[in-house]
Amino acid sequence: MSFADAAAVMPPRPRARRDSFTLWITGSAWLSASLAGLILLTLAVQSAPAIRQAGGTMLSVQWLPSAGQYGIIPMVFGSLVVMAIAMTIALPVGVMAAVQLSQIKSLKTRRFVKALLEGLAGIPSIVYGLIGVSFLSVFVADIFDLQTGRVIFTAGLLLSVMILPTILTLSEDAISAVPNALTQNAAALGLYRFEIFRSAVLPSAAPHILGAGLLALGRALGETMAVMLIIGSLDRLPSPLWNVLSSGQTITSKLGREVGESAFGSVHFSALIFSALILVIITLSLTIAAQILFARRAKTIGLLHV
Amino acid sequence: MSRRALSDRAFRLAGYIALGLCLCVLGALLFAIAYAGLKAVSFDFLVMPSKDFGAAGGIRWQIIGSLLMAVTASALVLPFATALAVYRADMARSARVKRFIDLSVFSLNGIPSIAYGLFGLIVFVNILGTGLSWFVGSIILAMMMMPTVTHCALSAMQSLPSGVRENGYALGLTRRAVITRITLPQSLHGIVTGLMIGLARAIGETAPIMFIATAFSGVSLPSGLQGPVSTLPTHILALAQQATNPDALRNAWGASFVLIGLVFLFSTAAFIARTRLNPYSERL
Amino acid sequence: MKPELKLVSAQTPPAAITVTDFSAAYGDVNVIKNISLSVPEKSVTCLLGPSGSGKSTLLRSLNRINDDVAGFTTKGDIHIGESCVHKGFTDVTRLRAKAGMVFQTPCVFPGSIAANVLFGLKGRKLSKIEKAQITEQSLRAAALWKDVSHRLSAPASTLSVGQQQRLCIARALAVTPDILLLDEPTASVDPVSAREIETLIKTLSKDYTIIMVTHDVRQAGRVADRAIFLCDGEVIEQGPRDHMFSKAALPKTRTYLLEEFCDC
Repeated sequence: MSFADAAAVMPPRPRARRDSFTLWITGSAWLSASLAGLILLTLAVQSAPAIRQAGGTMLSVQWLPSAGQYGIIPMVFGSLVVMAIAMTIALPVGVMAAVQLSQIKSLKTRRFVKALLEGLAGIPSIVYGLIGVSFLSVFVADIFDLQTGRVIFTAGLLLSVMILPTILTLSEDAISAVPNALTQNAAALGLYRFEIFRSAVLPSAAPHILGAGLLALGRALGETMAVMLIIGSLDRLPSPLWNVLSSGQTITSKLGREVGESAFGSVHFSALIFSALILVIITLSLTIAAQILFARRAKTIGLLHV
Repeated sequence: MSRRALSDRAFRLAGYIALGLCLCVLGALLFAIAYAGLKAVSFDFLVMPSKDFGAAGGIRWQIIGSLLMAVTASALVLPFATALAVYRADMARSARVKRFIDLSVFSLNGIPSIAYGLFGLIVFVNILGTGLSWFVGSIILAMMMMPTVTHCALSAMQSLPSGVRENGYALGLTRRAVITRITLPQSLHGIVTGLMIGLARAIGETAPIMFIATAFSGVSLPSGLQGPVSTLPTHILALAQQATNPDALRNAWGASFVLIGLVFLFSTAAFIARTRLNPYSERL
Repeated sequence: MKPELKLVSAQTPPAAITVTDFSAAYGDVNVIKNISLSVPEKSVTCLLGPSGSGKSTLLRSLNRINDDVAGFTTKGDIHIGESCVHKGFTDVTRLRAKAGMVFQTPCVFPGSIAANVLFGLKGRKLSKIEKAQITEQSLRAAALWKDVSHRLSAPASTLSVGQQQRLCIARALAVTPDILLLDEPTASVDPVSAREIETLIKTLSKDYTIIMVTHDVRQAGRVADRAIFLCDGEVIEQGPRDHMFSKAALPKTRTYLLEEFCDC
């Protein structure tokens, strides 16, 4: 017997009364839930003029608003390079520090050290920018003997510190969530800690660590203030391309510098919004991918417990 | 030593180095901020208005502007985030709706802060014609706080002991009564924690408000909902851009120190709220 | 001795329960298959059966607490007295106030013992004296008054688990139900408290129609006036306790009652 036709037989279940309270909750909830879509839609609508008028030329390497050239490639390139540098530094350091952190036996000490390191995330990005301006760029200029320390590498270095707490905390969560029985059984086989980590901990913590990495990537891409202050703001591809000791530009630093100067409704403004739209789409994809990884992990844990 | 033992040694060493490095970076940052900040901070610095484009005087209006925007933002986000969490926890039945809400909250969290600023610039400042307005800035900050507050409130609601709501329904309470008398009071700690974490983040944000809500100098209190204020982060930004002027830089550090102090204050409040307000923490 | 609550009308309406051709499903999984049964008023009726037999689902259909479970569908009629639980109650909260429910694990709300007793009455305007009376009468009826009368304002979470369960019963009694639905009320309490609760149930059955789900056959033997044996969503046999326990007609019932084993 199936209940597909139950609705026909049963009196309709009385719906929740549409009183003002329910309406208020439902209305606010849907308004809140639609904000993300609203932002995307706004950006998409506003970037339409640029797509229509500048079109394919936006995929060039020249950004000269006075000549009607809006090539966003240097910015996209800068964003990706800065992100890659930050990740190359922060991922190994963060994960290894998380491994070490999870080795601390006293729960109290571990929580304390973790909370301390999470404090890194509490420092506002503008303060990181100030640190970059006053110290980091000076150090970089001294070490590499440059005219200015405001280069792509400095931005990447600073970003690596900023995304470190994300990677560290979430990796530590993942490592700590690995059932003790697994590590104990591995240890009982006479494995070294390295081998335990590689064979017992990493396989089950890897999706979560990967998710942490994706979230960190998203943060790195979207970071504005710190990068804007120290990247040098030069709308050119570095030459040669791998020269990270030259000034550059990211999508966010471009936006931070130029949105104020462009007129609303102009192609210039619209082209900037288009680059923002690309940025948002990339970061959103990263965030959603990370959440899918987290969700999948939660599910496997659930199965283990059943 | 065998190769296995050797790689194990290397692994352990790498762990120590990585953790040590993190702690050193943290220590260096805190030291730098405290050292450079304390040189600038004095009682006068806190209560005097700024002069000479920030190079002299204090940061009175910046502190007040930051607090005004952050507090307004939390007042704005509170009903909406709570409603969303309640809807997700107690009302939404279909799995698809729940997934949509989750996705939306995650997305909102993943959108870069500068995109919020652009949204505010386009929709409020230009299309709705508000001009520079601190209140619009607060609305945008409230949007940024939304995922944090919703997430904290929702996790508190979902971690209520199983059956409290069912027991309420079994006593003949209406859904409204279950929400207002069981769900909300018992997850208050989550809501307050989320609000405090959100505040700690919002008060340090620069990118979302710099186009729409702030002006650098010559601003005191706004007379209405429109008009800009001056805030700590945008003040620091302006000063950092004249980094060749040592006085400006010194005051930038002073403002940073105060800003971090405020962040610390709200973070501590969040921590206290999480433990003290939880009606079940006595049993844990 | 039903406490003389101020709120209850002198004439209690008949509270016998009849279930006719009732089915229930979670999504595609049918857990109750077209059953009919009746429960006389002011007595204890035990629903017996192995886990998964649908007895909890039946209980939870009586006060429609499953309404909020996604994918739960029902078919058929349940009547309490004259009124149908689906059509007769446009406001489901009135049904739930009429049929108090106590769950497997006691669940007290944060707050004092007295606040817990009065939890279901917040909407009503009551004077302080009325509140005190209701608290005392409900706690007396739940045989908890002696234990807690001196500390009504203490947090309810300081009570033992057995006491918490009796507090849950008191809380249900305070909203003056005619029916009590007990879902394995002794499953999570120690044997001594379980015995006390059984005695309490026996006492309460003079004034309330009680339906109790249990998978403890011997408990049913001690408490029940009437027993209904459910298996795999169907009623195998029902009847007065003595009939069920000594001369059950079906071998299936006899096997289950003697060996707590069921092959359906």
